[in-house]
Amino acid sequence: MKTKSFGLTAILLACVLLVLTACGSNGSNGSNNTASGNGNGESASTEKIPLKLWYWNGAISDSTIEAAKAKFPNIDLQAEKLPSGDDYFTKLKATLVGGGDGPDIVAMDSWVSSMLTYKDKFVNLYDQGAKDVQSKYLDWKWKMAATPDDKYLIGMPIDVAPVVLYYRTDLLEKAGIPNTPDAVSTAVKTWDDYFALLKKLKDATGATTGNIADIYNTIMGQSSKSYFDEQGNYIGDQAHVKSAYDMSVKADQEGLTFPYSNGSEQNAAINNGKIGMFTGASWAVGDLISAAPDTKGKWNIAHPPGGAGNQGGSFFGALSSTKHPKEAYEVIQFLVSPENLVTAYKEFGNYPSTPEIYTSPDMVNKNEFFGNQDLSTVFADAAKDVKVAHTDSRDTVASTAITDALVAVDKKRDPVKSWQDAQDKIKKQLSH
Amino acid sequence: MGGLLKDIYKSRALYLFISPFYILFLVFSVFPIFYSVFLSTHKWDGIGEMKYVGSANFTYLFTDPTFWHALVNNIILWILGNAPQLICALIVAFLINMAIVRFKGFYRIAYFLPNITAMVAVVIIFQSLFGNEYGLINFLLQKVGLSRIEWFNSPFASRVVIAAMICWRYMGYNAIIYLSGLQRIPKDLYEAAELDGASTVQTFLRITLPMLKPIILFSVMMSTIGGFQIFTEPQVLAGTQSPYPGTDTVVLYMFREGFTYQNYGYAAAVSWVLFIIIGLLSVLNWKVFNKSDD
Repeated sequence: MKTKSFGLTAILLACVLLVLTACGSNGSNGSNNTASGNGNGESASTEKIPLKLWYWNGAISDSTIEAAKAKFPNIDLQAEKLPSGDDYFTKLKATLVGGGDGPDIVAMDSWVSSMLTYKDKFVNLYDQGAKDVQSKYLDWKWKMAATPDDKYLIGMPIDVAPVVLYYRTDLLEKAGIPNTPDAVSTAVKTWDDYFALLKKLKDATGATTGNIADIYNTIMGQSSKSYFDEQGNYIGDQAHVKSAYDMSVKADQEGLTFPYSNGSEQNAAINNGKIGMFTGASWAVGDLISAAPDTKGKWNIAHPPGGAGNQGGSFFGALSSTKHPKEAYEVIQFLVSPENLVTAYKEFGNYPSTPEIYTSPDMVNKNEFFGNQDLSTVFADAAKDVKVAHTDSRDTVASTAITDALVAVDKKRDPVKSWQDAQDKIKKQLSH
Repeated sequence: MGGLLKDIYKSRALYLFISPFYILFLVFSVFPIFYSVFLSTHKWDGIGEMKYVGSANFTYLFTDPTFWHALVNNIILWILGNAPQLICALIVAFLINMAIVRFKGFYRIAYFLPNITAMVAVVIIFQSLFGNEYGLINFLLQKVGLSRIEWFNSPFASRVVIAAMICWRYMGYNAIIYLSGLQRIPKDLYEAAELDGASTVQTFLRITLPMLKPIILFSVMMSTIGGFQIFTEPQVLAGTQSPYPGTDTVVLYMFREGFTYQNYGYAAAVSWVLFIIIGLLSVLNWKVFNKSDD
């Protein structure tokens, strides 16, 4: 009896230990990975520097991470793939606040600029020698992760997402509009040109462009100002926002937009020719191919109306809690080197932020879906001279309210009233 | 007190065995609950400094029209999704329980099945069923000569879609609970009623309903709690455009404030107000049911 209960206690104790250590091991393997932990017991592995890297699926190619592991034999690179979007952002913030054994290297999305306020939480990559490679990258993209005085850099650019105009060559032909990429690019210099062309297209084929909010987002993406100025004052009620709003309303009221609806509705509309032209970032290539298989070979891309714009693209930075900022920088620099960015472009279409390789033969990207047009040349032009607006962590408050207002207009609300309500709502929200 | 500790020490192996749950519960549930009280009196964006603001979060909440809007929507969704559903569930349970029905086991499983399907998958199916332009429902409506309904363009129609999802998902669940309640009612009551020549409707109203009261109270309370936590349906239904007009709920509002606008302190305040609302409604349910008891 006695031995039995002792045996039971031992088993139970073992269970408890298992549970507790399972919780703990995640946090502790950052700093004390011993030689035995690495398996082989080779003498070299005792010297390995552990670096934990956080990214989301599609931020960078997995093969590039493998290449980095091979390139730095002295570094134990632990790449952890996390869910993307808001989840990732929340998790990163929790780490920044909570401290502890967080990651060393983190991928960051366009919200990188809003992290500049907390730059102390990040390694200043300028201190590690980032200045030496700065000239390789698109200037506007680089500056998104640097303080206004350009003394502190918290992230290095991975990819950019230039906005281009996607259009159906066959539908344009049917409407009697010259349909080569060059002809379309010249024909749609401004948004008014674009609307005029859309009108023609709609009269002849019934096809429209994307929804009212798509137009608004593209126009705002081309603006050098957003919802807040550098001092944090709200400027979302000023002319640049109002004119983007008015433009979108105009397109909607002329019947040039597809009714506002969920993604699958819009995808179906693209597939069956109800949407014939739309502005979208470079990553929309993949979405388009999967959304509209029936229209293979009928699409082309051209320069968007209203000038260059960008919607997305990410960065790599290092947290100041890392014990190895130098090694972290070396890994980052390798991951975002032009050659490695080409890999990601080939694998899933993330357009590199390093202009020097735009003309390289590796970049030629002829896709049957686009009638064998070389997409890279259009992206290359579209990626230059993007105007970057100052971002603020409160931007979503304003953008959500104004998008809601536009959706209401799409559902037949008075645009003047809708605008006024949105502004009141934003100001109320900012007051607390 | 000393006796208790001694008892615990005596059966330490058992306490050790159940401790993992309590440790995790303490860390991931109890602590956050109390921390959210603290958080609700602060302004915090998730990274920067926390600033004490006293009751300002609560005062703002009561003056924010968006909150009231969400609350009213939520009540409408709750009633629309639960009232017809609970009545149907009761009827279904009553029918399955009737002696003449065969294959009872099959019906039980068939009605319960929706409840164990993954919610997000269900929402995506409903999303394409009710699509404005290319949905199956609109296709059928047009086939039989009716006009198309733009489900997601009017607040009322969007609410109907969400209510339909709630009904579909929870009707079977509640029917099974009612069924178990029905089976607990002694058979002799029904036999006596039959002898006295009571009709089916009379039996249902005079015997079944009163005997089922505790079960109905349970299901109404659970639906109240569930109804004020509606989140996945409107969130996934509208995707990035969430919420569609007319489908905002208190939890969506809280989520948006916390995770989109980064007002964590304010979101904590919202969650406490929601807690109080649900608490009050539960008490109200209980009172209403108990009053008719005497």
